[in-house]
Amino acid sequence: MESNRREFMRKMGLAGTTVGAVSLAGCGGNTGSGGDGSSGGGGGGGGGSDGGTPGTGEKVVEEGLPEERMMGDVVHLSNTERYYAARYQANRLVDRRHREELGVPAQTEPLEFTVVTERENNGEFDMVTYNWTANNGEPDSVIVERFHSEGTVNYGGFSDEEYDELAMSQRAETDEDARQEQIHQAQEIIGEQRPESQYLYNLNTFMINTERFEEDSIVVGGTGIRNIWHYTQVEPRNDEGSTIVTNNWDPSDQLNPLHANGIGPSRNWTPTRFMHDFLVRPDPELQAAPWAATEWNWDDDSTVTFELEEGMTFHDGEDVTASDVKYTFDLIMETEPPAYLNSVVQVVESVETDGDLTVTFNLQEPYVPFILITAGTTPILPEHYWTELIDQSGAENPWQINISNEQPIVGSGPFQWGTWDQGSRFEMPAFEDHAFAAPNIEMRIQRPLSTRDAERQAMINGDYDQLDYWFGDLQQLKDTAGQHDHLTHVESLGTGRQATWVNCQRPPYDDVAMRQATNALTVGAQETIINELYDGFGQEAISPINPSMSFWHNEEMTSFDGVDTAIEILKDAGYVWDGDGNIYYPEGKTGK
Amino acid sequence: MVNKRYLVRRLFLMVLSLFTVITVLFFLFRMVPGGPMAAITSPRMNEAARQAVIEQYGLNEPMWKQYLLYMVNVLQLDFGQSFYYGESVSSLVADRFLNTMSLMLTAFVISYTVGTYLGAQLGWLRGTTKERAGMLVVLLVRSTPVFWTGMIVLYLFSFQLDLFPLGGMRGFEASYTTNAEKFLSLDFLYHLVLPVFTLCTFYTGLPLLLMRNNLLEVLSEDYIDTARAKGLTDRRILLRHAARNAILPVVTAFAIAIGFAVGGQVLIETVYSWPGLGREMVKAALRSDYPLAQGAFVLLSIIVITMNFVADLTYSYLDPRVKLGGS
Repeated sequence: MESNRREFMRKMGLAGTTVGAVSLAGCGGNTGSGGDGSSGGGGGGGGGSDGGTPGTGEKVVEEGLPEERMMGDVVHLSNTERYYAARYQANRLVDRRHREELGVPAQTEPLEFTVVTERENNGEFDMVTYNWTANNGEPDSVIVERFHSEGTVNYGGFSDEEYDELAMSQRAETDEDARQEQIHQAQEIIGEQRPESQYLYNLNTFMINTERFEEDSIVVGGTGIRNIWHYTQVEPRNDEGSTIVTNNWDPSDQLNPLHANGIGPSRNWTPTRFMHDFLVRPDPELQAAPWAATEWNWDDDSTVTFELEEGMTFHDGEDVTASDVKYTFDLIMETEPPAYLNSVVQVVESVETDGDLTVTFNLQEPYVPFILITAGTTPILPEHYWTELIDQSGAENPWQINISNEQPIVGSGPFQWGTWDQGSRFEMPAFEDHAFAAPNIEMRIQRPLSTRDAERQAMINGDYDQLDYWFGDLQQLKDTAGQHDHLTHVESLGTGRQATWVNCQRPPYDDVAMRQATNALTVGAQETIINELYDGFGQEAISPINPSMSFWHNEEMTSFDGVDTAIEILKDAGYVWDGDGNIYYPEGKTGK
Repeated sequence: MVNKRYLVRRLFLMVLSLFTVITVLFFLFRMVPGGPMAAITSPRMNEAARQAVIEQYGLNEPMWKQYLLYMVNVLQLDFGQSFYYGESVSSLVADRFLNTMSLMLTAFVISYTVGTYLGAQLGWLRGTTKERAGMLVVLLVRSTPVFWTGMIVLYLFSFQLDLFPLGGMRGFEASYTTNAEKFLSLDFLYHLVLPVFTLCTFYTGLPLLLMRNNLLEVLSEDYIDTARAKGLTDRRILLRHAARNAILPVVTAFAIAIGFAVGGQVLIETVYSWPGLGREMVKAALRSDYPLAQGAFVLLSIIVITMNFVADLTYSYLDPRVKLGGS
């Protein structure tokens, strides 16, 4: 077991672990002061407003402007205050500043999240704000999904030919440094064109009972302490630490790994990730790390070969072999579960095995994100078990099989199926025979409580061992840790950002100047948003790629800053104001 | 008492009511803005994948076709599969129904028993200091929002005194395999105490006030004076002559309360992290999980309609003067 442990540490490549606050330093990539935008321009030139030429930050006021040039309501889709108070208040703040500082009639429209999604999908918005993360730490999920003209979630319809070319060429670039350069360039275009403006990078907070666990064994990753590296490495200090009882933001509801909800929301994805092995996993630094595969090599830009770890077994004792990997991918390609259409069915051409430990993927076209997005999110299923499960279940498709205590999951991950009380509790005993990542704890139990106060109290009185999620008052959690010696507060900069996307397909945001102005206004409000609304738990943001993905984050990308800059950009683009401060489109343009 | 024609007519009306409720629910949920896709698909899915899910759940079919199919399935007692959980609605609702009823029935039985008894006592003691003090307490707890009482009770007994659990139906590390094991354990009873206590503080008020007011009316009747004149004891007059006649409205209230108990107490289920049907119904409605929301509301309707009927029948049994549907 000791040699396995060393091997595991080697795989992790971790010289040390991170506990407590992650550094907040490192922002300041803002080059923007309004000078680089294609229609912006920092001009304005100092001086006052002598001789009828308005100075920097002063609006151009005209009389008798035609009504059709007056800007109509700018609809900003928002979550409700009950759903997420800080973000709702941030939306209100930004919209108020649009109205008061720029004369842009931005209106916050609070809606249930199902309605926000529907309206966004249908393009019925001008601005929409929520949280978005990179898939498994892979920048492609931001670069292509979000901003390519045919991107899956490019609801704002952003389109730029040069950008599209870059976005697709980075997918085929197997040389990491060259790919990094392309992704930096892509971010620069996004910075100039500003289809997205960020409020902040999320600083997530968690808590752990350090009376029960060794502090230096805690591993903080992109998902805080809710990561497999932490759960397999954390060392209990006593018997009470042998079981980790934790919360869940909602009870798990779908544990079929082929179902969209099984690998989507983290309430299900976390147990799914823990019960299965994957060829690779993102390490705490969000880089692809060997897991079930000891190594991989690109034979050419659309063929990649993985070598499997020796001695791996499934929870029922059967060996994990290359044919199980092939079976998993063949099953997905044959039955096309919706969750895997993007990442597997439309990517993989065929899978071949060579012996028990070598598996080769022939891709339909060059696709470098295959490593983290496809191999990193497709669990290895046991062929012998799933063949039987499919036969017995009578379900039309494997993704519709109802996973339950009667038809449990058999995987090969560091944790295995225990008992599931759907709606309230899920128990996962450790898989002690895991070839290289057997946990030091004996069990993980997720047992949600429905109020934040109860969760916090459960930490205080020792019912919970750690908080995998915290959606309550961030400062209060930090204070609680300060008041109780047995509790340690942990912070982590995740892969997410709270951001606003604009609808580039219709006025006013079909004009890049308006997008840049909104960015300038939003960046100008970041300090207030972070300090006043998020109690300081956030980092100023300029790029859609989070600094926690340090290799890919372009810290020098263009952004704009401040009300004066916003006014200058709009003035240069021909926008004017009436005596009441209302904004009007440039000549020849209307809001229709 | 009850004639057969009345029974048949009532049964027909019950079926008609249920049919109307199911139909209204079907269209009502689909009129709500939003839709189930946000809750059942990943936002990262492309259009083809989303389309596959839509077709799988039959949401691409015209509304009338979906309605007909649903009604045919309901006639076979098949309420479909929850969009969100991917499990059959019947088994989900049955599971949450047991959780809710274990909480609500316990609370109602205790509340109505204690409330009826105390109401009779207060009525009997009318005009005394004890009665005035009792009424003050009753009106106070009855006017207090139940979620607020719940939070205070939880704060006091769990957060501060650490005497009771923070919520849920079982201990953090307790594990059960069968329902019998779960509901018949001390661990479950331990978790039941605070939510039931909270609910009782609120629900005891109604039967108590009903009983007291009715008793006051009954006590002014001639037959009570006759009973006194016969030299019967106060206890015998109260229990055998007064209380029996005053209890009728309480029985009706109890039957109707049982019907609504199915819907649970969303706020109490939230405060005490109780995995009941009330919370599930609200979540299903917010997620536009049509099959689950409809299934839960249909169950609620069936029980409310049935319990109203049962209340009417019980009424005629307890008071022979009440004749349902004529003689």
